[in-house]
Order: sequence, then C-alpha cells, then structure tokens
Amino acid sequence: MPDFRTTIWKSERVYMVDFGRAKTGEAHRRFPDIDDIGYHDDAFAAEHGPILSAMARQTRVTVRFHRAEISGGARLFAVSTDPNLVRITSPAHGRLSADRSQNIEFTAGNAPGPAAIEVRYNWEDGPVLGRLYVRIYARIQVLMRVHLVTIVQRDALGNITAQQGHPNPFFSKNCPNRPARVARVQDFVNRANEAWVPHGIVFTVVDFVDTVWGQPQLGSATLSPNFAELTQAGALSPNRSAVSVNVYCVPTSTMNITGMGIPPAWARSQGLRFPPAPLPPAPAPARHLSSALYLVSSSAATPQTIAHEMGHYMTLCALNPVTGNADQWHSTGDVLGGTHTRDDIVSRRRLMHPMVSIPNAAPSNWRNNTGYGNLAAGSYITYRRLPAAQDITFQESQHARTAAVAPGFYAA
Amino acid sequence: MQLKFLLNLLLAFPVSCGAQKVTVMTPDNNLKSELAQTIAGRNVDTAKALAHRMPPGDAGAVLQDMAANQRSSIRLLVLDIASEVPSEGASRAILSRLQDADLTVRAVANSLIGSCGQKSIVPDLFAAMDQNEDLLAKGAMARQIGTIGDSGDLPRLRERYNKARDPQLRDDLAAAMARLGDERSRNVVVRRLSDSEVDARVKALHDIEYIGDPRLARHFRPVLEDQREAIAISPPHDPRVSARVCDVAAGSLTALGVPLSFRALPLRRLSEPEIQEALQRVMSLENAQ
Repeated sequence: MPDFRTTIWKSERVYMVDFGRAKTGEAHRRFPDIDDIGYHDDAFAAEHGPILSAMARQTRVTVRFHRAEISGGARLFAVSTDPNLVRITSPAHGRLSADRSQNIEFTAGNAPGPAAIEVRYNWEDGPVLGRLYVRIYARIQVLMRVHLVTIVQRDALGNITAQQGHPNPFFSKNCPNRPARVARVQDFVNRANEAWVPHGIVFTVVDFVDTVWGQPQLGSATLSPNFAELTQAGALSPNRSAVSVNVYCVPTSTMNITGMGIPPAWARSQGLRFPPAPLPPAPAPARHLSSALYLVSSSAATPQTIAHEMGHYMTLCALNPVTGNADQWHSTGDVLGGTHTRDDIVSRRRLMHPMVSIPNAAPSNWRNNTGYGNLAAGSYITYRRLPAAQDITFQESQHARTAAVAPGFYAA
Repeated sequence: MQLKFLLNLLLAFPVSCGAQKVTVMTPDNNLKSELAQTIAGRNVDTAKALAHRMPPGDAGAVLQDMAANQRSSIRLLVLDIASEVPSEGASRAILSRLQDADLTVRAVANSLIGSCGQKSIVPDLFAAMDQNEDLLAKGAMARQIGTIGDSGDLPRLRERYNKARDPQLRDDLAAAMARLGDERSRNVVVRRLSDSEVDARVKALHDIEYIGDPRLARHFRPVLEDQREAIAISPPHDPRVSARVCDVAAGSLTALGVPLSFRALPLRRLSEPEIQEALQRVMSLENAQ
C-alpha cells in the first residue's frame, strides 16, 4: 500500500498530519486546546501550523495526533526541535504507531521559550510532514482575595435591620456553613485553572475574608445591587486588597448575571473610581477603581464563569488591543462598529465567545457538539494573531499574560 | 513595659558583644528585628500589625532589607506590607522588585509603582526606568515621576523623551512633562484634542485628566462638539450603549473639578442640555483667558 493515497492536484495544499485536543469534556491542564484556526500567524509570520502551549515544568502534556492523509504503514516520528523545552515522553523514542489517531505526551522544560514537535517521515531526521508549534510559558500566579460579601441595611443608630447573606444552595451546591462555602469557591478556582494553566496563568487564592456592604458602599439601601451599586461597592469595599484581584462573591444582584470581570483599565476609562472627587479646593480622598471579579452566589455560575470573567479581567474582549480603548465586551464581531460577526465552530469553542451572533441565554444549544459536553461552554483560548482588519480579538494567550504582569493589574 | 525593655537589652547584649561591630539595641531596633523575624516566618497578620505600629521609616528600612529574600513568598509579603505602610524604604523595596525573576512578584511590584509617593524617590524612579526594558513599566514610572516630581525633573524627562522611540512611552513621558508644567508638552496633548481620530481625542482627554490642570478645559470645544461614538459603556450582556466623544469630554470636566450642575462620571450618555451646559462652561473659560 502506498504511503500517500490522496490525489494531489496542481495547486492543492495537503496536510498529511494533523493535531487536536486529546480529550473531550471539561478543560484539563494536561490536555490543552489547540489553536488550529488556519495556518497564518501575524505575530510569527514564518510559522504555519497549529499552536499550543504548556507551563514550564508541566508533565504529561498530551496532544492528539492524526494521520489525516497518510497511510498507517508510513513510518512516522515525532521529534522535538528543542528537547530542553519540549521532551517527548510518549511514544517512546518518538516512533508513532500505525493507528490513525494516537496521543503524544511531552514534558515542558524549566525555562520558557518556543519549540515545535515535528512529524518526520520514515526516519527521525527524515522530511518534515507537519509541525505543531509549542510555547512554553513561565508561571504567573494571579493572586486573588475572595470576599464573602454580606449585604446589610442599618437604622440611624447603626443597628442592622435587614441583611442578605449567602443563599443555600451556594453556587448550586448545598453549603450550609462558611467552610463549605470556602471549599466551594476554592474548587471553582481550581477548576477554572484547568483552562488557564497551559497558558502559564495560575489563579491563586491568597485569602478569604468576610466583607460587609451597606449603604456607605452601595450608595443605597438595596439588598440586591444593580451595576452601579455593585461597582461602587467594589471600589469602596472594606478589605479591598492592593496586591490581589478582589473577588466579590455577592449573594444576589438585579443584573441577572452569573459573574462580571472588570479590568482596571476599563474601570479607569469609564470613570468607575470612588468616592467621587470633590470640587476643589477640598482635598481629594483616597479613591479606588471598581476593577474586580464579581460573582453572584445565587446564580448558576460555574468554574467556567471564573475562567471566562477572569479573561475579561485580563483585558480580553474588554479593551481594543489596537487602540487600547474600551470598546467591546466580547469576542469576534462584538467590536464597536465592527462587521466581523460570525458564528462558526471556532467562535463556539472559545472561552471568550461572541455575544452578538450567539445568544448567551439558556439553553445554549449552540454549545453542543463542540467538544466540551452537553450545553457546556468552551475553554479555547487563541494564540495566533490575525491582521487587525480581519479580527482584533485573537492572540488572547499573549494578551492575557501581558496584562497579568502590567502596571496597574492589581489596581487598588 | 520597662521590664520587657530590659529583657530585650539583655537578650541583645551577648549578640552585640560577640560581633566586631557593636550594635546598641534600642526599642526601635527590637521592633525592626521583630518585624524581620515575623516576615521571615510568614506570619502575615502579625507582620502587618507590627508594621502599622512602627514608625513608617523603620518599617520601610526592614522592607527594603528583606525585599531581596530568596523566597518569592517572602518578597510578596514585603510588597503586600509596602502597599499598606508607605515610606521611602517601602518604595525602594517596590522598585527593587520590578525586574524580579518571578513574574508574580514582578506583577505585584509593577502594580505598586503608583504607591511610590515620596518626592525623594524620584532619582530611584529614573534609575529604575533606565534599567527596565519593559515599556509599560517605564511608562508607568514616567507618569509617577510626573505625579510626585517637580519642574526640576523636566530636563531628565525631556532627555528620555528625545531618546524614546516607542509611541506609547513618548506619550507617557510627554504627559508626565505636561503635568509638571512643561508648556511644549501641554501643547502636544492639547493639539491631539483636534485630531481626526476618535481614539486620539479620547486618549488626549484621559491625558488631560492625568495632567489635572482645570485650565486646560478651555481647549475642550472641539471634543464637546464631537458626537461620534467612542467607548462602550454598557455592562456586559446588555444592549450595547456607547459614550460619544462629547460624553467623555464632559466626564473629563468632572474629573478636573470644573463645576457643572450634573456629574458626568461614571461615563453616561448625556442629554443635549447637559452637553450644551458643558459647552457653555468651556466657552466661558475661553473668554476668561
């Protein structure tokens, strides 16, 4: 049997091998999503192929290899271009089996850098049939302070007259006490990490604090805050940290949301800074931005909510990466004045999925059959950059990493 | 209390005798030593409480000493305390970590550049700016110099502006010089208010908010007359609402403390009478010039 059975036409480009995610269902740090949107990367113009990443020192990172247009009898080898960065641990010696699809496992090196897994024909140094570009990232911990917020109303003497504590179920689970609530949030954060660890980003809860909001923070006597009240209270909150992302778990909100991630630069551009500056010559008090992650504990939020909203906090689809201005809230097509709206298998898989073309309201049937489970949202984070005229929302992996170490990320 | 002091002296004495350099242990030194120990032991709450109790300069000296600790968790704790107890030493601790090998520590230090609020720290900021390759960090340091410096710092900012090639860094340096009163830089920013691009106008407005001089509001007529859509202001998942350039300009008037009968921040889509009132206010500033 010949190794190549595809009829090759004159101007046809044939990809004999391909790569894909090695599992279905929820995101998993060892089985990263692969950016296989075409073969163009504006950021690395010489690279043409699928891309994935891993965090330095990650072990058993697994990717699915497919013999797309080549016989099972063809001898193929998976070879790392830099074993110090990507050391292939399976299959042994890189020799691929005759199976149409099989897993390749590798261990990431200690240092960051770019490498590739090349599929070579017949010998370990034979001709290259395909490449998987691999980026090894240094670890960035995104520090979090989780506030378990209670909302109270007080009378003129300061006595509490009404209060809204956390409901039970808390984030859809029976959590009758504080330890159970802490464990629930911690579990959510751990599972949100599954999508971000391959990008070298690790959400780390530094501490849990009990925080009380009342009229001084919310600006009203509400027990169920709206957007304006939430953002004001987030800025004026007791216990607000200057060295962590403040994660406010609020019992309820009139906003009908599961969560909301507000990056500092977006808050700054909106004037979401409290308390308001008094007119001169009164001295300005210490003022704070509303930047934070807000989660509603009575909602159907999931770990994916944290992964998605933290994407916003890390400026994804909140700031225009070309102009730096706040001009969008979601991904492809949701750009102010943009016409690039689309609804395809790529946009349906994305962690930062579009809002214009794909409604977010339940049931989100459009999410089915995209590889993450029935009605489950995707966790795909893009690597490649496209020309600005085509799409400004890609290159999410690098944008998020840049944002996470930039001045003002932990804006107080 | 006296007994505790004497006990501390006794405890310190053998150490002092054993060393070549004689250290006189005072209550302040004891506190410094205690803070160093609690930081090294990662007793977060105790260390913070102690730092708050101490003279800020003493706490800062300890933070500066411990900022280079081998353990990243200690360096993070140092920065955490530095954010709560500002001092020269705390600022130097922050600046010393801007190029930390651990990206988490570096990220926290970068975020605290704005906490370096002492005029005496300006030379350190210039030095850190020169050593740092990160353009965003350089820009943040330039703006911080603009915030805490004075006109005496203009030549050094100008020198770096002339060398800078990155447009964003040049904007940051120009904004810093403008804030410190440099007329040439102010004119550069003011000219951008009439740029044909919406983004350039919005950026100029934000820069003028940073410069913080309400007299610059007299140049706002072109932006208050600009009804083009500029910034999305709707919460996520809501129907998209955007602020126009004129709404952003009115917001800048509020930020600058120019009296209006309404607040234009947080940003919102203002009514026509509100825009007209803002325009009238700016025209009166033009006439008062």
